[in-house]
Parts: sequence; structure tokens; C-alpha cells
Amino acid sequence: MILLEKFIYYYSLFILAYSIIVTILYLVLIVVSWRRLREFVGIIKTNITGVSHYTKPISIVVPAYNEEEIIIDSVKSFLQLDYPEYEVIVVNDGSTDQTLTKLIDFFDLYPIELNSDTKIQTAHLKQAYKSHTYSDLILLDKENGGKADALNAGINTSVYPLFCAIDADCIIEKDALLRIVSPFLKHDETIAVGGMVRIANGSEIKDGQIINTKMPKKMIERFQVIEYFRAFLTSRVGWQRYNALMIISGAFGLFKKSAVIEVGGFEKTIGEDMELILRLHEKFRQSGEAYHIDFASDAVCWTQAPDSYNGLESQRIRWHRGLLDSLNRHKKMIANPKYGVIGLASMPYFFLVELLGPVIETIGYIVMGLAIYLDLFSSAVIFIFLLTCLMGILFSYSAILFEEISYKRYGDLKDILLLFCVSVLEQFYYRQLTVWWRVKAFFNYSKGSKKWGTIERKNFE
Amino acid sequence: MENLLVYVALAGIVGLILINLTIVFSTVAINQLDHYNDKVYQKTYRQIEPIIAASIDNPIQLVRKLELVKTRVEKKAVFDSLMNYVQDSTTSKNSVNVLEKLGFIDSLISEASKKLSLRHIQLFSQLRYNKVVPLLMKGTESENFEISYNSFYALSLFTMSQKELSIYVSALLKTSIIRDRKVDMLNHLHIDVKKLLYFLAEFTMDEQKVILLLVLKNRLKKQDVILANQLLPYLDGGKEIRIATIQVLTSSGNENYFSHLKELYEKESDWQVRAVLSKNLPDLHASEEQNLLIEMLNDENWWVRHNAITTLKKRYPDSKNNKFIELVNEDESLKNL
Repeated sequence: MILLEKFIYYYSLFILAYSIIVTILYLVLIVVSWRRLREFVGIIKTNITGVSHYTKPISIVVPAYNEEEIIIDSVKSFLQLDYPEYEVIVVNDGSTDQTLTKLIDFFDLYPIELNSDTKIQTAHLKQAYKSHTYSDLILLDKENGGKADALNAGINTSVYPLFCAIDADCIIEKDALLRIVSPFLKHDETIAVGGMVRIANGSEIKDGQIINTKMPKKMIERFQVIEYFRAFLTSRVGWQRYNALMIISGAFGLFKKSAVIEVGGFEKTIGEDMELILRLHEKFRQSGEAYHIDFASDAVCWTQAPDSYNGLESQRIRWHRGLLDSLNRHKKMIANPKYGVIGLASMPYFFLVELLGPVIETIGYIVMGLAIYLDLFSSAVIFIFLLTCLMGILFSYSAILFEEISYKRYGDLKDILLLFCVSVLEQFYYRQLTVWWRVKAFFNYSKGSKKWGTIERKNFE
Repeated sequence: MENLLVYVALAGIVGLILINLTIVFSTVAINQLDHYNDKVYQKTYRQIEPIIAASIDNPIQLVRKLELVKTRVEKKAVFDSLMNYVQDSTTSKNSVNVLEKLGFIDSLISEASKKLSLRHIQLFSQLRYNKVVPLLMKGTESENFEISYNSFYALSLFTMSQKELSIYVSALLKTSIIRDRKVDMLNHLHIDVKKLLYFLAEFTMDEQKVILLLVLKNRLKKQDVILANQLLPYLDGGKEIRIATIQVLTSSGNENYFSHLKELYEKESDWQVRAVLSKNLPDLHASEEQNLLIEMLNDENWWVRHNAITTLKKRYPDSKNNKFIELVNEDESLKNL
């Protein structure tokens, strides 16, 4: 009994120390993000080169697997973008639904022979199609090989020096390509740029475009709005400042094709987006070549977030397995000074806070339950729990503030107040749920699917 | 010890509650203030804009009217409205004149001299007020990439003196700004061919020469033979230089260069150079081009053959000379083109 009491006491102490360290890390990240975001807004508001005719042609690669509900709307929106020169390559990765037929019928596609240059090995390409009506649209129909494989097939077929990977369940704003390409038009060293991903649920969508941004109706969707704010406005902005971004969302990212081919394309793994970025960091840091992995916070992509607990659970388990897998594959970079900020700050942060955080927190909840059960509950435990909740709220609140000082997509005071309330509620219900899902990701990790994550799709409009 | 733990946790809780509350109040305040300021500004703008619209053709009268403007919001509305007229070529001169008389430009220059910001650069690039060239030149030396990059871009929209131009080109060619963007900026400047050739001789690095050659593209005229002849030695330069020189010479449309390019093709070992030549050759409008293009159909590289057949099909759609069609039919990889 005394031993257990001691364990509870020392674990409480550990959690307190861990919370303090994480709070300090969060505060540093918040301050850096604050400064960087203000710079971003300044750059965007005063862009004098936007009127220039000079851009670089882009190949949009859209991997699709069983996307019959939304594929037409998505491809339509990709074909309507404001950009002088681009092609859209949709890769049907062996869908078992009507994705292929719908695309062929709607876009008036006909089969063509394709002399694609196989730079990266992929599953068998069954047929390529072109459209009678949209000259810049190509459809590749291939055997199922997973998202990474579909992206690689798209890269092989693409003709332009930059390719943009976009999820089929996304809508990108009309000027998003012009914005995301901007770092490529300035720095010679830019090899990848991530875009800002926002949640489309609840917003008004017409003809593949967001007409009116609205707060989603369901609480589960609102929680995710806050999560995306945190991830994109306080985390990525901050890491970008030090060229230490570890992830470019698979939903919307622009890449220099030659750099991606040089490292062998996307790896067939659970978190292919993060893994690729780590491989790019590894390669360029090792060779000593100058490079930039950037983030364009004004290039916006709207995604459909899961609106059911089952869908969200499988997504979060997949994401956490992706994180674990990527860190595991590149473990030699962690705390290795050879890899600069990425090895010494970004990766240790992701390892200690993002990967192990849920485990430490779950043990904390068990210890708390045990203390109550054994009547060893002390005020210290409840205070530490409150402290961790307030820390989470701080991170969310900062993200809401950053949204308000920068892009103001939810400008209505009612929406802002609702977001503040949702952030509090998140700490006492949603947080524990996602923590548990992320812990579940460790079980049967090796059996984790390297194929498509499936979320029930709904028509955008 | 237990007490210490409680105190530390409590202190943390109180601290975090205070920070969180501050964030909530700040966000709400920012939101409300923004809405209020925007409303006031819009109202003021709506009152001031018609006054400016009515007198923009008479700067003296307009200055007299606007001198009465006192508050910060009114001044901002006047400034923004006049800046809109700056964009219009018919009212640009008068607007700049009024902005100058009202002291806006002097105060902008004074602000920018202390610390040049992106906003200053944006406004200067719209005003095209030559007095700010030295400030922007200084901006190009900034350690902040965005300031330096935007200063270079803004300067490319100005008319500079010969001395300033030399400094500008020299500084621009040394930066890490992407090559095509440098070409874009230099293209804005409309530097004459003689001056470009002078720069070409001055700069020693291949990358710099390539940029200048790409700027020369489409500027050489058919009759600029003496000037274009100065480019012939570059056909013996590095790979990128050879490619750029081919592009410049073919864009001149002077068929006298055909023999030089043919000679280059025959001795060229790099397929990329040959591919550029097979693509750009028709721009020369040389009478002997067809034979060389047909010769290219036997090239060992696919891209050279591809470019040659595409060019032949485009240039000679009704050709009676079926020799190239026979050659294409023998080449399986070109049949589908």
C-alpha cells in the first residue's frame, strides 16, 4: 500500500514536471508562431509580385479510392482554379465503387496510350484516359496499391516540374495554387510547401467553391475545427520559422518533383506525408545542400472532417501509427546534432509530446482513478489534472486569437465565443477520447494498414 | 513536500487562468474594435471619396479642400482614396501631386528611412516616385529576404539612371532569388540590347550570363546583326549558356545564324542542347531548316526526334516531301505522335 502511495505521489510529481516542460515548449512555440504569423500576414497583405505574369506550371495529383460521392465535385473544383498553366491527374487506385465510371461519364473521357516515364515503381497501370472537354485532365486507372503508390503513379505521368498532392475529399480555394507556389517563385532552395487545411463541414459550398464559412453543427466537428487551428496556426507556423516542419499535410502540399524523385517518391507506409518530409530533411541535411520546406498559411484547402466517432477513431489511430512509424524509420535523426533544428528540437518534441504524450496522460488517468479507489486522493492530483487541462486550453485559445488577428474566417463574435467554449469542453471529454484512440494506435501497430484510410464521404453540397 | 506540490500546481493554475482570460478578452476586444474601426472608416471613406472624385482633375483645389482633414481616420481615408487614383494612369500624376502637397509622401519616406517595411515597399512600387530609389536600393541589402526580394521587385518597376541600373543588375545577379524571377525583373526594366551585351561581357559567372542571355531573348531584332554576332562565341560556352544562346539567336529570326547552329548540332554531344535546338530552330525561319530537322529524326535521343517531328508536322503540314514520314514510320516510339 505504501509502495502504491509512493508511486501515485511520484507519478503526480512526474506529471507536474512534464506539464511544466510542455507548457514552456508550448509558450515558446506560441511566441514564435505569433511573430511568424504577423510576418506572414504582412507579406500577404503587401504582395507586390502577385500581379506578375510569372508562375511555374504545376501538375495536380489527386489519388482517389472509393470516392464516388465527392469525386466529381472535387475534380470540377480543381479544374476551375485561377492558375495560368496546370494539369490535373486523377489516379483511381483500384476503387471498388463507381469512382472510375462516374469520372469517365461526367468528364467525357476516352482511353489513350501513355508513354509515362517510370521514375518510381508502382502497381500496374491499367489504362490512362483524357477528356474531350477538359484538355488538361488525365485519369489514370491502376491496380490498388495504396495512397503513396497512387501519388507515385501521378508523379510518373506528370509533365511539370512541380506537383501538388491533393486529397480527393478536398476543395481548394480558387487562388490557392497562386499562393502556395509563391515560395517556389522566390527561393531557389524551396523543395516543398504545405498549405493550410480547414474544415469544410458546416460551410456553404456551391459549384466546388466555399461560399460562406460557417461553424459546423455537430460538436465532434467543432472540436476538429479547434484542432486544425492549433495544428496549423500555432504549430506549423512556428516550426516553419526554423525550417523544421516535420509534416506537410497529405491533403494539400506542393513539391519540387526532382527532389521527391531523388529520394524515391512516396514510401508505402501509414503516414506517407510525414515520412516523405523526414526523408527530404534527412537527404538534404546529409548532403549539406541548402533547402527550404515552407508553409503557406494563406493557401487554403477545405477538407471534409469525419462527423462520426467511428470515422474519427480510425483516422486518429491511422495518424498516430503514421507518426510512430515515421519516427521509428528515422530514429537515428532524433537528438542528432547532424540534423540541426529538425533533429534537436522538432523530432524530440514530436516524440515526447505528440507520440508519448497520450501514453503519459493515460497512465495519469489510471493513477488518478486508482487514487480515488484507494482513497489516496489528494488535492495535488486534482490540481495537476486541472493544470494540464488549462495548458491545453491555452494552446487552443492562442490558436483562436491567431485566427482572429490573421485570417478572420470566423469573424462573427458568436462563432468566436462558441470556439472558446468548445475549447474548454474539449478538455473534459474529447481530449480523453483522442488520447485513448492514440494509445490504441500502439496496439497491433505492426498490423496497421498501409493502404487507404476510409472515412464515410458525403456529397459536398 | 506535498504542500510544495500543491503550491506549484496552484500557482500554475492561477497563472494559466489569467493568461487564458487575457486571451479571451483580447480576442473579443480585437474583434469588436476591428468591426467598429471598419465601420467608422467605411463611413469616413464614403464621405471623402466623392470630394476627391470631384476635384481630382484640379489638384490645387483638391489640396485646399483636403487640408481641412484632421483626424487619423480621415487622413487614412484620404490616403487610401488617392492611392486608388494612383493606379489609374489618367489620374496618377494628379494623385501623386496631391499626396506630395499634403505631406503624405514625405512622411512615408521619413518613416521608411527609419525602418523600411513591406508596406512601404508596396506603396512605393505603386507611387513610382523616383526619390525613393535610394531607399529601395538600401532595402535590397536587407538581411530580411522578403524586404530584399520586394525591394528588388519594386525597383524593377522604376526608371533608373544608368549608374543605378548597373548597381541594381549587379546586386540582383548576386542574390539567391530564383533565376526565372530575376529574368522577370530584368524584363520589366527594358534595358537596351547594347547595355545587356555590355553586362554580358562584364559578368563572369555562367549563371549570371544565362540570366542575361534569357533577358536578351526576343529583344534582338533581325537587323541587329552586328550586335547578335557578339553572341556567337557563347555557342562554345557551358551547357546552360549554349542553350540560352540558341534561344536568343533563334528568337532573332535571322537565318544567317543557321549555319552556326547547324555546325553546333553536328558537334554537340549533350542531348539537351540538341533538343532545345530541334525545338527552337523554326523561329529562325531558315530556308534550309527542313533538311536539318529531317537529319534530327535520326538522332540517338528520343526528345530530339520528338521535337523534330513535332516541328516538322507543324511547319510543313502539307509537305510533299514524305521522307520524314517514312523515317517516322520506321521509329516505333514516334509513330503515335
